[in-house]
Amino acid sequence: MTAVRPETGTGTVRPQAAWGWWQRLDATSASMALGVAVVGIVALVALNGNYTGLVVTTGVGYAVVTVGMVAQIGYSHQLAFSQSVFMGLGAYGAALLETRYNQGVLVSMLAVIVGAVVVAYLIGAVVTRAPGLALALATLLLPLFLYELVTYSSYLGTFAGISGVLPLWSGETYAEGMVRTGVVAVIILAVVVWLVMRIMRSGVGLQLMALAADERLAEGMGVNLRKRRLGVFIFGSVLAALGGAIVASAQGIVTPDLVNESAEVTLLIMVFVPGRRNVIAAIVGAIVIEWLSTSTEFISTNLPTFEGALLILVLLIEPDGIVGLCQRGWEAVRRKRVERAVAAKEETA
Amino acid sequence: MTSMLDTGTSGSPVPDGQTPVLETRGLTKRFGGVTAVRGVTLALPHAGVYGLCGLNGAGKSTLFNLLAGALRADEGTVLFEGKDVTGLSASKRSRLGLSRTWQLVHLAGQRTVLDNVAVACLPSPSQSMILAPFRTQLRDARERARLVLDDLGLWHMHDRLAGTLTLEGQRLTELARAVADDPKVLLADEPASGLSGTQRSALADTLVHLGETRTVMLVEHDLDMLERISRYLWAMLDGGIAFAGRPDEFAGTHAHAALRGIQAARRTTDLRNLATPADENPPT
Repeated sequence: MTAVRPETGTGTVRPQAAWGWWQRLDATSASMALGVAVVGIVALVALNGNYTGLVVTTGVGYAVVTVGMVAQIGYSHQLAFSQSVFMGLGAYGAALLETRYNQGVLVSMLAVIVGAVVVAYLIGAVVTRAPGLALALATLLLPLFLYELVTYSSYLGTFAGISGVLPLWSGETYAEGMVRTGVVAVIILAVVVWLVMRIMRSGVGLQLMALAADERLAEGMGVNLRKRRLGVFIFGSVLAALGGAIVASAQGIVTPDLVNESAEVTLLIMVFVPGRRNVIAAIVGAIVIEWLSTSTEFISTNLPTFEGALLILVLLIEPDGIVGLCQRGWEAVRRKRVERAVAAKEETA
Repeated sequence: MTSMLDTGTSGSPVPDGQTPVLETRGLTKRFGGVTAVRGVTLALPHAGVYGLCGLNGAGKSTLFNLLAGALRADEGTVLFEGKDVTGLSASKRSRLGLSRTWQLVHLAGQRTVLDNVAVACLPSPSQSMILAPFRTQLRDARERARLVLDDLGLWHMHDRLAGTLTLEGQRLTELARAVADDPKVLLADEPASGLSGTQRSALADTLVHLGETRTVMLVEHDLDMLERISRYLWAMLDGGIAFAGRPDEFAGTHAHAALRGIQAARRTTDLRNLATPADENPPT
């Protein structure tokens, strides 16, 4: 009888203390998180707090959101249009606590997380009663509502927003503070990557997979649909709030642009174009789209048009995005290789 | 219709004094003005294969959905081991030990056969998402799934993606998943649909094997297969039970004539002339 493939793929190597610890973290998830941390920190240190460093740090904030969307939308098929709302909640929450109530970064971040859990629970308890597309529709009006709120509320700074948001880790110079903020953001992203990978590679991940395949099937196998829908909604929302707080810290200001009508679409594009089921693709997508939106005036002005066209193209050709296309191409190449090998063998015979 | 009920001489399949593992009393389900299931009363004993047959639109799949909790009954009760479970959801019934398969195969095509089965083997299915990264349960679930696949002789395909399997492979994977949690009752909805004669025969053997330790209720259009492997048979017509008895008592009944007649007609005439509205996916 063949042995079951071990969860960590580490075979039968006798673990030493450090290796055992690594195994407990799950080697695949931990390697990916470590890779993200190393690449991100090296890149930010190399950029030395310049403008591109600011763009990358902002992109990392968006990546925290999109990695959560991979779990919520890509993996569990729980399409909801509420990520920009929770990004706004996180950004405005951190900004208010730091500028109006003189709270430190750590306190404001923790408060944002707790607040996001509470708000996501209250909203989720209602909207996650709706299955599939109905869930998406139930959340459709939330971004419009929030945009109206922040633009008309003087407490929230109306169109000017709130400035003076603290960096995640300040330095003696602006550049130093930017690098340090970027490093903290990357470490948070690495932890989020590990969490999402671990959940997807767990029993709960299998249940979410069943939920995505067919809700009736999942329920028939004992999966508590409401609990799982609500759980994944809260998880994705909290990560969105965390990402929003990082973006606000990186930029030092939060404006209604963060939650305007195109913000939700941009987030969806960051996930769907590179590949909705792939954590690394979601990170790359967030950083690249953020970079494109600030690269040249022509691109930043016309980005929504490009994004819309690209999204339609991707959904028509390959719903799993660029990663899906690459996988299909690789499969085709592999199949051809096998066919050639078989043909060669037959010829020899 | 209940007025046309033919009963065999064997009475109920449940031995005297034994509590049925699954029982319905006067179960009725309506969709608008259509009564899909009308006043169905039946009882299943512990262990064995039991058959349910009927024409398209007779209400078999609706009855299955009522039993599994996918639909709520308008009237009547469902009892599981003597306890009223009529109001329980499908997930709660599943955790009590009531499992099912569907007419159309439902698998996660991009995951392996092992993972498709492991999803039904989690030691704590209601584990919190917060704890999931720290205690994944995956190793235990996959180990249990390995035993199930081994028992059904399916281990050789454990690492294949479910989407790449043949229909037979997919149906067997679904069956493995349905029994992975060792349910007391398995409701199998047309598991032989689309399979060849040889494949049907192998599937029948598997179902008999599964029925040795649990109750298997089987919906099937293949009357030969049903009569061969079932200990007891119910036939449905127009939403009601038209026959209840041993398979050897089925021949010569009104329901038997109706079902066999349709089958013979199907073999010899254009199916399109006989097409009746399918009831298999009623509006929910």
